[in-house]
Amino acid sequence: MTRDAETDDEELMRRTGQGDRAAYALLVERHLNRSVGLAVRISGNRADAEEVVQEAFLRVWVNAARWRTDGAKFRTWFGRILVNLCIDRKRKPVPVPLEAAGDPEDNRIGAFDALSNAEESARIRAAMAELPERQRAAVALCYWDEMGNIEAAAVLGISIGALESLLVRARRTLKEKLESDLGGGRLGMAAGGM
Amino acid sequence: MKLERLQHLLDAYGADANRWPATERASAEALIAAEPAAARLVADARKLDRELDSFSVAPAPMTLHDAILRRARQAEAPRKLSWRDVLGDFLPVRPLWPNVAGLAAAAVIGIGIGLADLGTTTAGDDGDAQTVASLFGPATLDDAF
Repeated sequence: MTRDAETDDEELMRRTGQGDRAAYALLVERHLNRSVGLAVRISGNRADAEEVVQEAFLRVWVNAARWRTDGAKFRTWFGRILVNLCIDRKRKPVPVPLEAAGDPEDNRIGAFDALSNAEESARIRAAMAELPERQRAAVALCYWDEMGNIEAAAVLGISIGALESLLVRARRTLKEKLESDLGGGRLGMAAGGM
Repeated sequence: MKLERLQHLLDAYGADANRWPATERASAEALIAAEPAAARLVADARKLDRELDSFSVAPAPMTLHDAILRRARQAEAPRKLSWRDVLGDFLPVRPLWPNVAGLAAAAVIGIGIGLADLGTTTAGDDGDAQTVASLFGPATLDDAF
């Protein structure tokens, strides 16, 4: 298992292409949480996100024998599948009311903090839902997924300049939405001032 | 780096230097250390980051993990490209031979009818010859003399 833990994704993908189910299971285990996080933040809906993630992993399995690295990382290739599936879903996310924020996401925090955190998540989710899909995907990749700009641009199939343009527009809109939500004080709108 | 570029980086990537492009990180940090105005821009960008950090997503449940592996078990095993995969849309979806056979049969029938028609003479033939002769002169040298 230690050896498997050290095996890189590309080698696991090669073995998956030969029908190695253990290698595939390890890939799923490695990338599942990250994929769900990305899909939830792009689709804005947990149920849709889980369906998209299932479909994306199924495509990995079915296409594994045809996959060639050509210098590309598995993570980039898989990210492209996932983002495209989220965008193609076309179901415009409905802003989630605070009451529907659901259970606390982190069991380690106290009840008051958990409720506050769930409300915050719902606010961000509602603000994200207002963004065009590609802006949403750009922020999800670069901010929460912490993907580098070169890799994120490759996932979206755009130049780094175009990625930065998406990010700037997305963050400005988010700032405006969140600030208007709070009555203007907390974020101290200085963006775009230069 | 100038303040304008730093503002653009902050607007795009936020206040955490780890998210900035690796090639610009050092010069951005040097500017922040040297310029109080740059440090203020970072502090301002950090406010939005704190908001975004509160968007947490619960880890994937085991049921999702199991469902993914179950779907893979139900799907066919990974396979390499076939010629049909490579040619894709260029190949017809249905077999081509019924269309080809139909065309060949139509051609044979058409040729048969045409050949049968050559051996017959109709009253119209003479009339046609006369019309041609009146327009263009005699059709053969024999006719001319």
